[in-house]
Amino acid sequence: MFEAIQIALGQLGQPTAIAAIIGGTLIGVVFGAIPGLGSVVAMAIILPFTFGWEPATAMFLFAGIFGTASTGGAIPAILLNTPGTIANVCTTFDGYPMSRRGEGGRALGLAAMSSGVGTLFSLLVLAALLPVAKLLILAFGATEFFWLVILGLIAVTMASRDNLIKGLAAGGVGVLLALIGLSPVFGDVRFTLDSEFLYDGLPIVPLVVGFFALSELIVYTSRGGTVAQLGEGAKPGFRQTLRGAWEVFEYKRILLRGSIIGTVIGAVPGVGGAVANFLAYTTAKQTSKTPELFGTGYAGGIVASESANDAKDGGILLPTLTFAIPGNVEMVILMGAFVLHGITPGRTLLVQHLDIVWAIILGVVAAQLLTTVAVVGGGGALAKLSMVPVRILAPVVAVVSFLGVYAVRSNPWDILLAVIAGLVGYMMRRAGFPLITFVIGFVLGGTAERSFVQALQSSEGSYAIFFSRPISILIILGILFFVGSPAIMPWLRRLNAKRRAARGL
Amino acid sequence: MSALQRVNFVTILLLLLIAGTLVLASLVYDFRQRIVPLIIGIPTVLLLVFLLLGTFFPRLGRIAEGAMLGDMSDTESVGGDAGRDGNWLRIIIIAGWLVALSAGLFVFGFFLAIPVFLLLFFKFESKLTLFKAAASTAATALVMYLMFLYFLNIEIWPGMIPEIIDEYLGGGRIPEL
Repeated sequence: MFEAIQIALGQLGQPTAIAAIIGGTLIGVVFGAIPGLGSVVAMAIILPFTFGWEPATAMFLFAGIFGTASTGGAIPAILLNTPGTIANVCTTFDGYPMSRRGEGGRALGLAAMSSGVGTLFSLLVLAALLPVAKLLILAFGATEFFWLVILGLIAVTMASRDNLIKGLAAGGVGVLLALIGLSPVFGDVRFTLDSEFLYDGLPIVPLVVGFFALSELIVYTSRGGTVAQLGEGAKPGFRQTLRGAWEVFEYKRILLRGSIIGTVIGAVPGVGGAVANFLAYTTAKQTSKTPELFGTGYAGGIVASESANDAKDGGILLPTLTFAIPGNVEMVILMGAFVLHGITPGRTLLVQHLDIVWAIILGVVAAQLLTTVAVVGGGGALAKLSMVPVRILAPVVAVVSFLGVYAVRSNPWDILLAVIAGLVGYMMRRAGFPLITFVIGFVLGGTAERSFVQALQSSEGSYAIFFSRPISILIILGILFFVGSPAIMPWLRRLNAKRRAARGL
Repeated sequence: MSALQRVNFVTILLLLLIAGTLVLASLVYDFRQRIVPLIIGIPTVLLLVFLLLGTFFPRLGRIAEGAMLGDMSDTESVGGDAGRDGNWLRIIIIAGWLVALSAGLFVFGFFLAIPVFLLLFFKFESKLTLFKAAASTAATALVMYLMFLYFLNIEIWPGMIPEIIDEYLGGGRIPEL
């Protein structure tokens, strides 16, 4: 293993490798920052161009892209209330209110440092777990996947600050819409009305861009002014960003918990950064002594969200590199890159190309460090974007959003779908329906159905399988904790306070 | 009924229509294919019906709106964003700009619709002078085209109008809906 690390380090020092990492980082941050694009689009576009490159150099480029996109996604999430990627949704809860107070630089510093720490933590775990990864992955079957998705949905509903009934209803509609189109489980199409457009289901990018970017654009453009409403003496600059970056270490427990959640959830294929993001945020809120601060521009909220969504990078590499089980679409493209460069994914990769595995790990480390330094260094300047009058910013955001929507599938109907989603999203906002639960329901709906049916098939129709496996039971207990905690936590706090009072403390 | 209550009612009705249609449509499929739509759909429809009834019966409405998450019910309520929004006329105008842009993109393509939209928006909505609006349009459009055409190498939709300039203006084949 040490020989492979040495080879990878040697490759990392090459000028082409350095250029690939810088290029990948730049592409990752820019694509992450443009709502609707993200690392999947970036990797898909770049993939053919790497043909003929040295495999390690190509891997450095891809590591730069997927390792930094969610940090890039935090930039519009904080400054414009528009998450660059779905994994940045919870960052908007506290990042945007902070930005509106004129503390955008501080929020960016918090996000960048949390992302950096989260990534490094997860890669350390990945390095340590590579030898024992097989046991971990094989322990998860279809039932565990099903419960994990349910846990994600419940966590999202609890994380939203809106009405519980409306949150659940919106999540339900999201799941139902996710079932439209070709079912990967049955091989048949459902609910398409013979429409070719709906054959592959409703596309996610126009929905997300419409719901988050366009509906928010209506909100702030109709209001006028600037995105940020400066408090007295609050001027975003380098010092403010640096202060935010150091402040991360005041939230050590949230940071550690977010990193652990991100790594573990990331390691479970098909679940991904969005669930890690919501789960970390909700856990931080549920276990906080001051839950009322979450959603008001609280630093801990950003730390939880960003540490988790970047920590998923290390976790997600685990099943991809060890068993050729791609954790998400990014990893599918990465595996495509392996094949393009003559490397067979899976165990062969670990046996014959361990240097490539380490090149990816070191590439992500280097790219994340670069991004953290760049965002902390340039965060103040970026934060000034929130001072631009919305009447100037709005048309640019609209144009970029539509270009991003079209770029993914080159289908002009997607543009119209994004507008419809934007208008419906705006109405849902006004009516108090949390958009987040709708979108996460949509994202996880297909996975929930697939896992549910596979579990039933494996048990020959017996529902007992959902309650009989140890890991399933652990996840169910987690769900019960989330559902019950709003009632239990205040009761526990009161009980604790009474005990302290009785002891005369 | 206030404007906000009307929006609440219409939104619930819309979501109910979507969920109800999908639940009913699922009944034509076999058991395996309809089980998840029914498991998720029926409770969703019931929740939406409850919310809809809440718009007619104030007491029920208070229960529905009060179903917050314990001590997490800090900031949002019905129309939680309402305080951040402008008046309805402004909202309709901004939504109109977006609808116009999307229709313009669809019909005339990115090369024509984007500069026209930017120029009109900067001039009439942003209230810039004609010179500043034109300069801002040129700068924004140039950056967009450079990034998407040359950096990302993405083929840009030329619009559904008859072909005027090959690959740039008109002649786009609309995919089947």
